[in-house]
Amino acid sequence: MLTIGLAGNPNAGKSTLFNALTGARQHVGNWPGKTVEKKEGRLHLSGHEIILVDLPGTYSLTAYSVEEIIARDFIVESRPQAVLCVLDAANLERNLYLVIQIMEMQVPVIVALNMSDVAESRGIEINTARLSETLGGIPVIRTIGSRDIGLDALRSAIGEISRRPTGADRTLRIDLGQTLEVEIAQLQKWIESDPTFSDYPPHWIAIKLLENDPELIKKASGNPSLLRLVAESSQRLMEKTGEEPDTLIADARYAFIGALVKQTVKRPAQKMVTFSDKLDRILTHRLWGLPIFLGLMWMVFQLTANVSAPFLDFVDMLITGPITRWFSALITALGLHRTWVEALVLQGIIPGVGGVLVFVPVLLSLYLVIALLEDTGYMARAAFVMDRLMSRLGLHGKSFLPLLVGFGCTVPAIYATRTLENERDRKITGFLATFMSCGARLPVYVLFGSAFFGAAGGSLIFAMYLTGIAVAILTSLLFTKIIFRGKPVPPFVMELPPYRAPNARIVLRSMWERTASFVRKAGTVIFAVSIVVWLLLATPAQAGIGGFNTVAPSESLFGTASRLVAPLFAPAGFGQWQASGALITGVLAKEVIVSTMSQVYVGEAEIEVPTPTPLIDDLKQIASSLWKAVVLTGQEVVNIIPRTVNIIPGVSMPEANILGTTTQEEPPTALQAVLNKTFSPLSAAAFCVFILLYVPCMAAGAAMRHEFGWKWMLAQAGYALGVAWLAAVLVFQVGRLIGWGG
Amino acid sequence: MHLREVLEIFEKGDALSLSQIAQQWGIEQSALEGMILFWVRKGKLREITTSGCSGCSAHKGCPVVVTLPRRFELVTETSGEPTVPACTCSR
Repeated sequence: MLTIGLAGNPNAGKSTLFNALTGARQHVGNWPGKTVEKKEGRLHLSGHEIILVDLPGTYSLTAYSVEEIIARDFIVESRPQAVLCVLDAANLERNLYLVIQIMEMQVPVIVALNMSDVAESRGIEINTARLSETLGGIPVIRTIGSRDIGLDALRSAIGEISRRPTGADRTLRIDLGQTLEVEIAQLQKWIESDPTFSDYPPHWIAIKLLENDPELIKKASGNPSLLRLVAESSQRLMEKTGEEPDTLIADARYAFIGALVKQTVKRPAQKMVTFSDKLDRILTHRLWGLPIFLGLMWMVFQLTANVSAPFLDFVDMLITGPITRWFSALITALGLHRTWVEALVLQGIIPGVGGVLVFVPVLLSLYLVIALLEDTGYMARAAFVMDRLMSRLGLHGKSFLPLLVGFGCTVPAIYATRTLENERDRKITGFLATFMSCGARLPVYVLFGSAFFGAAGGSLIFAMYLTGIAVAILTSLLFTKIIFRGKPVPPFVMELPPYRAPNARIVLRSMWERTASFVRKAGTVIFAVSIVVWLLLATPAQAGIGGFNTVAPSESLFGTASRLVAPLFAPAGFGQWQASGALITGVLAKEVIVSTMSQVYVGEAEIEVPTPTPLIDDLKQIASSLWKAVVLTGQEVVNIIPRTVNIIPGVSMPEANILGTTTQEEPPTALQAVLNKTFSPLSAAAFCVFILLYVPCMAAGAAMRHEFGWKWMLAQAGYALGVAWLAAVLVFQVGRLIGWGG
Repeated sequence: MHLREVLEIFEKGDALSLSQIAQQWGIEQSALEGMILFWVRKGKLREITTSGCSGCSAHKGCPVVVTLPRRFELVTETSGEPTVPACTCSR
């Protein structure tokens, strides 16, 4: 019975061809002693029964992987009548490398140029006759395995090769160049006389020994003279060429393939440049890449702030209206009206947790757009553009990953610095990651952006992210040019995946998973902090100024402590104790800033027990608000175009106004209304800048200490506090000087 | 294109994509990748798959699951292979 091996690169369509040739006549098992699957099938051709053995998919026949060893051991030890090489016609150059290596083993080869349709659709023309001729006359057959095209020709080639007597096969020996061939010829003589290698083609063994193949070196260990000769040959080759023998051999193969492809493959010049390539020329351009990335990010934040605004109002209405009323009714029904329990729930937990949950629509829309950008393949380009920037700043390109992660959360960003090899890069990157505006700070920007900047709220958010990046750049220059100078940055090459249409399931899952983690945090950390803040607000700082839950908030423990630090922030325009208090709790977690502000500003008012309304009225209110939110969201989506076009000076494209109202004209939330009275747009901007830059949250501080030690953590906290204070004061004071109010 | 030329591209120190190099040298991207992997096996280049949070038990709930594309870089230091950490954050 004759045996034919089926070899090929992974994804060349080998299994499809195997199934098409053997049909149901298959046996599946494992390769002896290996967990790699072995498939055998039977073929009946002109009275001959042929076993077709599906070899593991490999790119080469070195001894680096189990698959490679299995494939070459089969070819050498089982001595098949021939090997059918399945090639991906669209990636011929790479696939031919395996063919060449199989031919070096002096076994007859049949080539199936599979997926020819894909190659043709890309305008690749392969001259099969010429290819066959250049490869020593071996059969080269065009196939499309998925459509059973070329199978008859393949069967006929297998039948023809099976009828040949062994040894009458046409095999080609590739000329590896005179320098190499001289050494190979010398070794070959010794190999031929060594009984260990009597079953192997000596030319191939000589190549493999020069390549320092561990499997064959082990086999030759009983023949020290041969090994000595191999070492001497290698030494001579290195002296003559400056290259190691395995590099020379691989280079000779690539040179042969390069020449072969030049003679047999025609690619239309314009077809070489794909749509992805054309887009990449623009999106990853040295000059325009970065502005395009920043422009896109600006659009993302505009979209996030404006499109989510109607649902933000809806959730706010839901929490401050029906949900508060239901809890109030429940507390009254339980006989707890006018007790500390009522105050805890209505002044502590609902404003605290609810104040943060209001921002869920913002995060949903942000994560939706980010997921869309990721799934289309753009984020890989953004990584490429930013990576290049990192290198120019004297940082390792890999620093981009922790910094990118920092836009989501600083804690994993600090741990991600472990991907960097040296301590200098790790420390600097960890330090810089704290200036990347994490997702937890976003609610603060949205709150102040919509309260003070209306439709330009998105620009405030964008400006915050840019400020974070700018401070990180300046800090990195300070470190790399002054403190830790003179370390070269290794260059890199990146694989950019082709662009593709986003997959709705992947995008929605990604959006949901990211938002769900925010909601989980609202239910745990923020819930706990809200209770603690309420307790501190309800407890008098000293005797005689009121009792528990009756003391004025400013005289409470929380108010007193906040008042102590408040003067420090007066030069930055936010010297109120409420704002200072929110900054203190913000060290626990940045989301807490909004919940604390909600508690101290909104909850500060005397409890007004909501007037109970019939459930049906609540449901009607929810339904009508939901409908309004849906319509206004649609309107905001439609208005993206005129708003973008209207950036151009002198252009005024009308915006849609379906309900006779816009999101900006909607009444502010309870917290926004209070903030409007206590902050000015300038002090609001200074407050946002301070929040962006000041000490990272407790968890991030702990991560910093864990990774870099106390000293580095304290140095970072001190530096960040100083920079944040300076930047906030600068924004406020310079703003006042140039007449932006105050 | 010779193997040495592939290495020289890295040594020149300019960030490029595989597709850009393949176009400049007029070879298939997959063939170029094969040549790069040759140097990876030789230890002259290093392949970095920054799957970011892949080792983290909490990555499903993490707001920033980042997967950057495959990268190759010149091995310039002998400080060992970089390790992708198991993120210990609770998010």
